[in-house]
Amino acid sequence: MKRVETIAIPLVIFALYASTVAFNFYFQHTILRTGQEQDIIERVFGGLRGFIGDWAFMKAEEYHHRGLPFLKAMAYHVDESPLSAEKHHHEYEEGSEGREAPKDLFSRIYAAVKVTEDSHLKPAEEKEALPWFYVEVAFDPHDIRGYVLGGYWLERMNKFDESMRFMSEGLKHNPDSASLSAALGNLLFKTGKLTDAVRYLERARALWKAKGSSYAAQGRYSASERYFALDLLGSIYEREKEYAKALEIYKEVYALQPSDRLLEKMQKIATLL
Amino acid sequence: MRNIAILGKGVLREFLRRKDFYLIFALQIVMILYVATISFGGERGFGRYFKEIGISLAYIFSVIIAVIFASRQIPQEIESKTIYPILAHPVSRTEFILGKFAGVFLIAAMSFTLFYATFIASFLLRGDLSTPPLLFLEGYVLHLFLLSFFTSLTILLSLFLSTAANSGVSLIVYFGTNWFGASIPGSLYLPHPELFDIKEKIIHTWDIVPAWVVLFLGIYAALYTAFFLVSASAVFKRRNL
Repeated sequence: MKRVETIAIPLVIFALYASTVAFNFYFQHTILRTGQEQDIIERVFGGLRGFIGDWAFMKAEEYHHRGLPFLKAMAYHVDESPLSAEKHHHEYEEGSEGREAPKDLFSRIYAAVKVTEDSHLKPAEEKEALPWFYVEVAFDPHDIRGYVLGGYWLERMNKFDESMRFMSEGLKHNPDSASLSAALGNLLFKTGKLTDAVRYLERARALWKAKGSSYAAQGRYSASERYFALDLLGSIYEREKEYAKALEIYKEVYALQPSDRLLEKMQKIATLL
Repeated sequence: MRNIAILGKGVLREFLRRKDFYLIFALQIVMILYVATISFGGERGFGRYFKEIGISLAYIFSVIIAVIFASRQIPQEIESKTIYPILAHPVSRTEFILGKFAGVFLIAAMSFTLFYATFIASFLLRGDLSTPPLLFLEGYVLHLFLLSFFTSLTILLSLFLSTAANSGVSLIVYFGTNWFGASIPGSLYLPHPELFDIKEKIIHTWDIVPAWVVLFLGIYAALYTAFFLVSASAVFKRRNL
């Protein structure tokens, strides 16, 4: 009896996890098919799976920032416009901006025992963040962010086939995801499969259009994702000498974020029509 | 002092007699083997992921042992009425508290030493020598401080809560401060057990912790341990058994 008490807590933790697996199976094959999505139990366990997925995502970010907790890492990147985020990210990587040294005793001790500086994994270490994306989507297959970022990291490691497989799996679970379609289009472009790339990018474009204004409220990273995907689509059309289509796409990109570079491009293409 | 040692040995004997530890140790080995062989996207050899799981298991399992044993020591003695012959001997209530603390801390430290050594041995077997040995040593010493903190806190709480409630509350405090400790106002007067955890520094191979910080945290842990034990002793002396 006493031994049971001792192992009760680890057993409860494992039982909780095991129950989410069983409930997931049950919901996918029974509840969802019968349209009872709002069932309270599903919300509770769906929430737990989402929670673990979010936790895994934060771990991946923490690994990318060499142990800096997720929220502190985010604090380094506040007040950035969508398109400058990546640039600033690398400025921090090079250590061009530091934080003020802590003055009070608690902060000094905290800084000595915890990671408080923002730095990033070296290229040779980049695979270290990878396990967390697999954990993230294993717990929450509807976590699109996990598939997109995992695919991105695999691509950085030149594992194009695995990246394609990973994101395609994500698209199976989330067929209406514009982000995943755009990410796959981008990957196909990099591997030289232009026809397939256009197909996925057009699909992403259509999904974004269909989602309309509700999409716009999703934040600056989503906006930059759309911007870069459409810009890529426009440049592919331009490269393939399909100028009318290119101009149409660039107009959409310009509407998202006007720039002189785009204006010049559009003027140049207009002369070729 | 002799009475404290005798009481401590009693806890140790109980620990060795029970199967709990062996079960947890077996679980650790199985999980380490699993993590060592796992692959993601056809890739293997994730050193940081391995360190994360290995250290977390050593830390969490040792805290679970400390909390579970500390929470049941006094209620168990009272429930089985074995406390009366003990206190009938020339054993003061303060010695009783200190003896129980010494015993639980000893078994928690022994378990942690074995868990940590197992993790380090498995890590070194992978051929990864990138982490400074001193950082591993600091992680070990600081976690011993944490075990002292939680053993004494759980003994104090065992005077107010049932065994199950006490285990739950103590583990919630452990995980809560570990995950959200940075949200607690940054004052050393408030308990900050998360300061004893340098897991991220070890996983991501940062610089070693300065010696003055380790020393300071040793004093910090000693003061909190003393505070919890003095409080437990004061409460226990007034308790009508």
